[in-house]
Amino acid sequence: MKNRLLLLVAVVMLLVPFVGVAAQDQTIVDIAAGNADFSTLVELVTAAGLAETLAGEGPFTVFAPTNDAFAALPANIVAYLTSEAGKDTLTSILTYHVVAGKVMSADVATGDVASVEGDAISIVVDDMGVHVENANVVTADVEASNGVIHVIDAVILPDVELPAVDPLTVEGDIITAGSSTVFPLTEAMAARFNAEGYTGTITVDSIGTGAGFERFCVNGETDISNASRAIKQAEVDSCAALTPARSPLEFRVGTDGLAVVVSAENDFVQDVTAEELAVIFSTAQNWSDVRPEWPAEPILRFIPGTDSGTFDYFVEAVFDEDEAPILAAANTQLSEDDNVLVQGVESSPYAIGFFGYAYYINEGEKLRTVAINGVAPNATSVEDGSYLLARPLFIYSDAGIIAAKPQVGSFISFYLTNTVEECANVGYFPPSAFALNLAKLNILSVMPGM
Amino acid sequence: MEQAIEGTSYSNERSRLLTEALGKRAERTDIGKRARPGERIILILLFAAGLLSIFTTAFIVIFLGTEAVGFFQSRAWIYAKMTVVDQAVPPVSLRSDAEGAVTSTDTSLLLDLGDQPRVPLIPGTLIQIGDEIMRVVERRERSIIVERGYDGTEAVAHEAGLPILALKEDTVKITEALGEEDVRIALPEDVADSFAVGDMIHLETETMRIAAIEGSSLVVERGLEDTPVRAYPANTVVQVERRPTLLTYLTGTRWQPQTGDFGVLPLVESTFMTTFIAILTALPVGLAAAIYLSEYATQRVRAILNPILEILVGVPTVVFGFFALQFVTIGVLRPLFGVDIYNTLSAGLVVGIMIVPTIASMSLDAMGSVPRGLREASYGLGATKLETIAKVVLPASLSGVVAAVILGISRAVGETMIVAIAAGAGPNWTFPPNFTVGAETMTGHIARISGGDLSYQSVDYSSIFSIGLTLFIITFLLTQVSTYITRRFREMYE
Repeated sequence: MKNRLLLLVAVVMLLVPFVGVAAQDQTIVDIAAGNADFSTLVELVTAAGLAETLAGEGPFTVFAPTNDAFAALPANIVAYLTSEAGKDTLTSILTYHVVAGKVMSADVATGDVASVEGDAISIVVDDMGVHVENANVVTADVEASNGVIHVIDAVILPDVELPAVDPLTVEGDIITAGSSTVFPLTEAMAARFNAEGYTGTITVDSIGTGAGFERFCVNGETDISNASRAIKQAEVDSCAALTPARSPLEFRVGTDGLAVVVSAENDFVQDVTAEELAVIFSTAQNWSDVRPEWPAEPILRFIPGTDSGTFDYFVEAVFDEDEAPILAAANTQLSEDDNVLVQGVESSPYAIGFFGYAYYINEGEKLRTVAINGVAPNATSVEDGSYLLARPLFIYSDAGIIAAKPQVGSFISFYLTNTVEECANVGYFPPSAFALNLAKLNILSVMPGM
Repeated sequence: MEQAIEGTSYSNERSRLLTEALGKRAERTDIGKRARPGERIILILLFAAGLLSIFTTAFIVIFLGTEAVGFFQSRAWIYAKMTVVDQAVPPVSLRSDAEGAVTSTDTSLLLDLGDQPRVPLIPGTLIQIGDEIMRVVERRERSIIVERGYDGTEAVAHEAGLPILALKEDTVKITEALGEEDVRIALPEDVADSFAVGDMIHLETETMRIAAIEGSSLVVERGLEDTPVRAYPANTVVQVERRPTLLTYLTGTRWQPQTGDFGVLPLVESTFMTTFIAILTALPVGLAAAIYLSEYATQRVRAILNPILEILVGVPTVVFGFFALQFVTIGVLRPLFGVDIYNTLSAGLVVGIMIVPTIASMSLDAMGSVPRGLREASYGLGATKLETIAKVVLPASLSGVVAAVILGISRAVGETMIVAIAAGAGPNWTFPPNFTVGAETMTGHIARISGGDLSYQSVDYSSIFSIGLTLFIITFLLTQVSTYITRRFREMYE
């Protein structure tokens, strides 16, 4: 695939001189500068000193994010990029939007292409159009004298490398509190930070997202708030009312997804609605109670034990936090041991269960996932939140805290560097490359010393 | 137990005489006063060991007792519930012709399904017709079978064509935001009546006591028990207190302490179920093995078989557990009877296998101590070997055999690993007992619950001790029964 694409690029590059003749005599920079939609881009290109290069002979293919795309980035990141300290990062981000050669949309196929920055850009072509990493091409093939512009609706980010943190040199304690779902991840990360030489204490309190934000924004006690949802406006407001005011910085650290599974022998349950899911795990005796066409066989339920965050999350998402119905259901086996659940669900076509999606992936072929509201769980639907039983995992902190307590910045930086690995250990999905890079930029922006 | 086995023998009597003789000599020569310093130290150590074991036992019993009492003082906060009409269930009504009318005793209701292809009311649903609440037991093609006069309502006659409302339980939420200073909690209509003055309620983590009920709102005392007083937005869930009592503990048929169900019977039932199966397996096998080894086997065969039987004692129970799950359940029972993956039958069978050597070797000892003269007298009277076993040896050794069986039962009751792996992991009350489905025994439940992250304050934590105490009382009673039986049936031979 990649070879074919390279060939394609090569062929395109050979054709460029001929096409170029037909192109307008404006360069890429001229076109961008002439369009009010690209004023941020032009500003940044100028700030990075790349205007001359892009006006040069080329040819180039430029994926140009609109002003709206830049506006979607957190303000502190844009401010950082335009500052002197962020100049190198800005250059690499901008050059990541540029591909050598002139690639027209008709010539593109799904695959990776090398950017001028060096990292590969993944391109997906489907019925919906052309997708570049996390962005969509909204206007294709704006031809210039030295290449072509494809307009995209989001900024794409190359892999951001954070400066290595040496836990041995980090001093001082860190206080974190919040979501019980993020808890295992933060705790694993704290253990790792300690194992690699950090001598301070990291407190990780598992008190729930809302209570975590209360401590962070109302009482102002914690340095980091663990959250399994994005912060609410009311919480941002109370953070701002603190003295000194806190403006929460968001760092995406992973995604939690639950898989509802049935045995591979089960040939009737393919897709359920959220309401049916609640009935299946509570009042229904037989499958036929849920849908008439399903067999009149008892439902055998295998669910995680009540001490697990998985159980809490399922109850929260499906039963509105009331655990009574699910615990009252007949034929229910509860276990903290996922193996017991897997064995149970495998044992009968009339069994159903749920556990962490990451665990399901390791479990192979005897199980099958059930789509909820028509959405099957997979990396994409879990990431974009269209799957019901998925939620983002965040940690929040604040620039003021990081300035006052450098150890907090070091820990977050360490966290973001290792989160992909630890997510796999804990059983969560890693954050998408874009979300992670954005988080890394976020920490870079508030730790100029790094 | 020792006493039971030796009780039938000559040696008992002999040793009594011997002790008496020694005792007389001891009095005469006064050996006790001639203890040397070294012996004194040993004496003190022996005394200390005896004292230690007694104190340990006493301490464990007291600890178990106090913690179990703690369980009856603990409480669960559960979501307050109200009954509302389930709008999601499509409307149906009683059939409008003459047959649709319902007398006060009818349990079969004929329905007009409207444009529904099928009766939308699943078994277990509560429905309301007029003022009467009923529970759907079964649904048929165009009718339902119901239990009448549910929830304290009276069974009355209903006209044909009345609409049927499906009910569901919904959590009670406050209807207006509650500030930190407010003491008046607004509830949905008709819900306040289900609370009583003096009841304790929870909003999030704050404890409040109901001081008065005014219309559809509750007047409360805030921030009791040192809980922080906070403001709560509308739609905050109201939680009510549920405490276990000895009565609900001993008679309830549901065990879910977290949601306020404190009936220990499901756990006790499945413990008895596995024990029953275990004894059913182990008694014939163990007794037959003991009879064979004691009466029929030659010295050489006995020398080979006896140690093999003893090996079973040394097999770790976790191995038995996986044997039960992987071999007995998956390999044998499922193909033959289609039982569930976790079931009490398989766990019981394997617990039985586990206690076979206990029963066999103790019965063997008891039969071995039946005096040879009894057997010879029986043969001399013309009895066959089988007659001798059935009519002389077994009765003579009965107390020892019974003691063996009761010790076997005690082991089966207390067995944890096998039932934790093979019997299931959810309390399940079945009546009549169903051996083919999963259920959790007392020991299995303790093992599972203590496996997670239990906080000391939780109901689950203290419930462990109440179950433990129950288990202790059961085995204690068994031991007492065993002691009684051995005394009662002891045969003395002079």
